[in-house]
Amino acid sequence: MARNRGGLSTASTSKVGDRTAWATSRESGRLWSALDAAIVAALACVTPPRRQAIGAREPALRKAYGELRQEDADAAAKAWDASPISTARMCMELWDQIRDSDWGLVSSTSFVSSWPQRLWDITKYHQFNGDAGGYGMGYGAPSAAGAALAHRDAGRIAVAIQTDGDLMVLPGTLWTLAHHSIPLLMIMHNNRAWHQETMHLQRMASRRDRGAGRWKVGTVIDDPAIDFATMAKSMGVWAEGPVSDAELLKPALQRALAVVRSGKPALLDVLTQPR
Amino acid sequence: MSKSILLGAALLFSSSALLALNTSSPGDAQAPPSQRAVGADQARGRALFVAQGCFQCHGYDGQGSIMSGPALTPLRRSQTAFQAYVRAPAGIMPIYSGKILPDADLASIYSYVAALPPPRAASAIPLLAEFLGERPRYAPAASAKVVPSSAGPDTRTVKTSMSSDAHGEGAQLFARNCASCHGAQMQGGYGPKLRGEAAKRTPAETLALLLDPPAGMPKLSPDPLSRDQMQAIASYVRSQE
Repeated sequence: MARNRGGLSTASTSKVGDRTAWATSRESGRLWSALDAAIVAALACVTPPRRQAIGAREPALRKAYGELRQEDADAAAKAWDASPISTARMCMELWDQIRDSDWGLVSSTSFVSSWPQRLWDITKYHQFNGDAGGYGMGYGAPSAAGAALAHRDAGRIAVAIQTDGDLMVLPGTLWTLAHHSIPLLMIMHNNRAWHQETMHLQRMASRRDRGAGRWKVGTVIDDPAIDFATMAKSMGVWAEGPVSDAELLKPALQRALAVVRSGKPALLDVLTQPR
Repeated sequence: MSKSILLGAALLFSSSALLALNTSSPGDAQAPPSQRAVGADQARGRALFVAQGCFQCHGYDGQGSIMSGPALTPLRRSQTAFQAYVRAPAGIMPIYSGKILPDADLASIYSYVAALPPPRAASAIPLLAEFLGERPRYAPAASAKVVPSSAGPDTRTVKTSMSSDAHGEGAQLFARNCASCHGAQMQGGYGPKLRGEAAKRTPAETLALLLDPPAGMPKLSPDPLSRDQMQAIASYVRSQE
């Protein structure tokens, strides 16, 4: 029996492929018509009084939403000019540069205090694709590369807020980006640390009367600090940094995005506050 | 040659150390001794704030994060309350005992945090100013709105319980200003339980307590909360059994 490069017999793979194709067209056709029927039935339940009741909720929701945004703006204003650069400042400077383009955010945001979810306008499904499942370590860089490849085919620019610890799990991702000309902006959330276990270490230090600085053991990426811009350049990725002055973010972002819009990856190393 | 390099390095080091002091007045050399002492203590406090790891959750500048810990600016606790909290924190904050963080060091940390400058107003920052004001920035397309039928009243002017009810405002103010010590359900925490307040005090007494709080409790009025807002909080607290 003939075998393909994966070792599977060609006869069995083609059979599997046919069955999949058949299932997709017939099964999905059945699913879509069921969904249509459900939508029609649901709309029939929305009588004029119900429609009014739903509309009556709008003012309160608008007000609550506005207050939420204002609270987040006030929180973002704190440490706006600080060095290391605040995560709010970095995220809003980035937002200012991409908001008028067709963009996609292809990284997690929890370690930058979720500023994109709080203060950006995320209105299309492709603008955010979530986080690792199962607390995946080192997921960020390679997942950003894959998602950026999809955005490239759709004619969009992809941006990733790349944490330093995550990039060090699979730094060869940078070469992959350069080799395949994937237009991704990696703007780094470089707090020179993981910090994952520090609270536990602090609790243990307090419980067992150990010295104050013990929380640093195994939790910081410093001494020496990693030069991410040089690392990226070594693998063919345009890069600048480290940037620690918030006033320099805007021009640096503009230069980096010019590279990304020309179809190439770019990395901007930014020294940031912890969260 | 090497001597001038050393001198230059020494000047650079001392000037960066001065910058790290975070004191903005150029006339510090002429400041009275107590102010000079405070400046030095703030610098020491910042160094300890970093060495003890406080900055990881609260940020180098006390700005906090929804992921890791509340903002420390503006600081509304007294020194006593601040130091007591660090020794016996509620929630997930690690305990800092006297053996790993001596009282004198904690006092320096307090002086650093208390002296952190107030943040710039969001209204003065162009990238953030658009989120302030009456209308939220994002407005959905008109076709996405649920349009009331022509037979019914204009639902956009209907007052809802959230916009006109003092309890709604009081609940929000409580959540933002009081819940961190008294608990989201007023069950207590660092501060005492507040349930049953209506049975303990008259309305006037509750308001008076809020306006002139006991030691350890922040005084939030007249700044940043108005008397009306304190009244809303008092009404809300009294309404919960």
